[in-house]
Amino acid sequence: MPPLRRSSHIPDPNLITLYAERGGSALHRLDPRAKVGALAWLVVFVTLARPTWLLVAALAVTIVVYLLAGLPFRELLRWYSIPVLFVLSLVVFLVWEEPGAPVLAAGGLVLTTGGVALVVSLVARALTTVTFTLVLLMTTRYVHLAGLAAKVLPSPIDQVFLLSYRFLFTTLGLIDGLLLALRARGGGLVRGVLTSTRLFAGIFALSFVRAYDRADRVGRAMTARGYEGRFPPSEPLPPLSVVQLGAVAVAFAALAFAVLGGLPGFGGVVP
Amino acid sequence: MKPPVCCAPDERPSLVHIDCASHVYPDGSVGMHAMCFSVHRGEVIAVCGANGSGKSTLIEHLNGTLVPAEGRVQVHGETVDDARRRQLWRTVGVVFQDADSQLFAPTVIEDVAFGPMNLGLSPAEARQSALEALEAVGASGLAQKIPAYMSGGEKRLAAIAGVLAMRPEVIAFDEPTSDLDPVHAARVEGLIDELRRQGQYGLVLSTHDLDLAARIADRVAILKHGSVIANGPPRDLFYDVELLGGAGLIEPRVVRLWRELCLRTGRDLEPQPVTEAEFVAALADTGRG
Ligand SMILES: Nc1ncnc2c1ncn2[C@@H]1O[C@H](COP(=O)(O)OP(=O)(O)O)[C@@H](O)[C@H]1O
Ligand SMILES: [Mg+2]
Repeated sequence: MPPLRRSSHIPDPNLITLYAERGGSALHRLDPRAKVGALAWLVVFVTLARPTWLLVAALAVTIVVYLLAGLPFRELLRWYSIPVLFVLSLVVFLVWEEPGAPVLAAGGLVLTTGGVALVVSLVARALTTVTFTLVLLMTTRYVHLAGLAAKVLPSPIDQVFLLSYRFLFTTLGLIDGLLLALRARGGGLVRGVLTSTRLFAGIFALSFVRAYDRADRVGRAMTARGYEGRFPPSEPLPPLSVVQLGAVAVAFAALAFAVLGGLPGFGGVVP
Repeated sequence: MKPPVCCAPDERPSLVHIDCASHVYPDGSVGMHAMCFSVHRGEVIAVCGANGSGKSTLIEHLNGTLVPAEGRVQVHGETVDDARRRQLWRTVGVVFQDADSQLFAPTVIEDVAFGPMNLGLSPAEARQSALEALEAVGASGLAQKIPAYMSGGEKRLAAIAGVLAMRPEVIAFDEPTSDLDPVHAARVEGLIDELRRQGQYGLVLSTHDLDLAARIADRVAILKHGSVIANGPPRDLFYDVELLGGAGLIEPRVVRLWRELCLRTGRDLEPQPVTEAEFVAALADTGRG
């Protein structure tokens, strides 16, 4: 892998593409359908699983998978800051009311073990999903993602999806560029959002305006090469892997069994 | 001020001809007016003008990306109606000024195959055609690369391949070398020259670099305020100080030197060179004479 350009809290779309196109790990060779299936399974799993230890274990396993794919760990930690910040901002009012033994008391509010467990499990859920989504995006070539979208989604929607995906890349890239300019003068994302919210709102608005302007030019250049609302992938999907899809199906069945059978830690049965 | 001229110099059938009374952008700025312009097979036309003179506007009209508010476009002598205008991209390919906006796909091969796919080729044929185009621009090595990680010169080559892969009859390059280093600029220039020698294309390039225009163009159209104010071979135009100054252009270096030489020697030396090669030849001649 070539050296990373720079580190940032925003996932660098070009870096994601680079890993997807160039990587040669076993995960890169998996059937993209199976990877999408696995992501769906994981989302259902972390939604249904209750025990904190199980969620933390799921996160740990996902991170190991991420590393096995040869993906960059330091970048991953940086990319975690936004989902973590997001979850924390959501639970900041909830954690105090939880039952359990007190851990910390601050100004009349008591943080309990139950509260800590809630935070940990929510963060683990979010990060597990984020990590595996990155695994999917960073180990699957774009033509295959596009091919899947074209297969799974109905006709205009798949085009909207694909173009939004590219538009998201452009926008993220521009936001990243603006943040880089900010950091070059001593600013930072997390600190910045906390201390100068309005400035940051402005920056994000500006990024969207610029992205729109760029998208307009990209659109004109696409029209000039005959774009008429169809952006088909130029390569077929790899052959369907019965074994891999079977494994995903078995995993789903096991999960359904765990939930319906009322296995401890799943569904309505609280341990 | 010079009146607009028609840039359709002879009776040869033109590949593309544009007759545009006016094109006004939504904000009221005039992109083009009284424009008369044709492209013929086998020639290189340099569209020369200062920033804002309407070069990009003209090029986007040739391809149908922009539509003349008043006027018409003809292909092979036939007026293009609305339905055919949407097909103009099959005839005229445009290499945009900003390669970053042209390369939109995640990898070069995907991007170059985009046009051929729109032409209706199968994915396999489109990729084959893309690989051939990349080879033609000497950039086969870029196929799997990600545009964001490429240099400006490499991006420009990929953008050119994206247009070549569609096998258009006319290729228009919007300031193809203005943002490149000398080595990459020379490579792109060499490529345009190679396409000219193949003889099957009509080539248009816009530039404000008259040295480049002198080296590469058979014919020059000088643009000002959205119209052609002069049209002809480089030698006929590039010694006209008033014309060039009025259009906000700077004469080629060779012309400046030659004029200086005439002034010093007190003679009106002929023939007047416009390229470095001609300059050297003419100098050798005067040395002998
Ligand atoms: N999208 C646009 N909206 C409004 N005005 C424009 C737009 N593009 C170009 N113009 C105007 O049209 C004129 C010609 O521009 P352009 O064709 O881009 O010139 P050039 O390529 O020679 O620099 C300029 O006055 C410019 O300001
Ligand atoms: Mg321009």
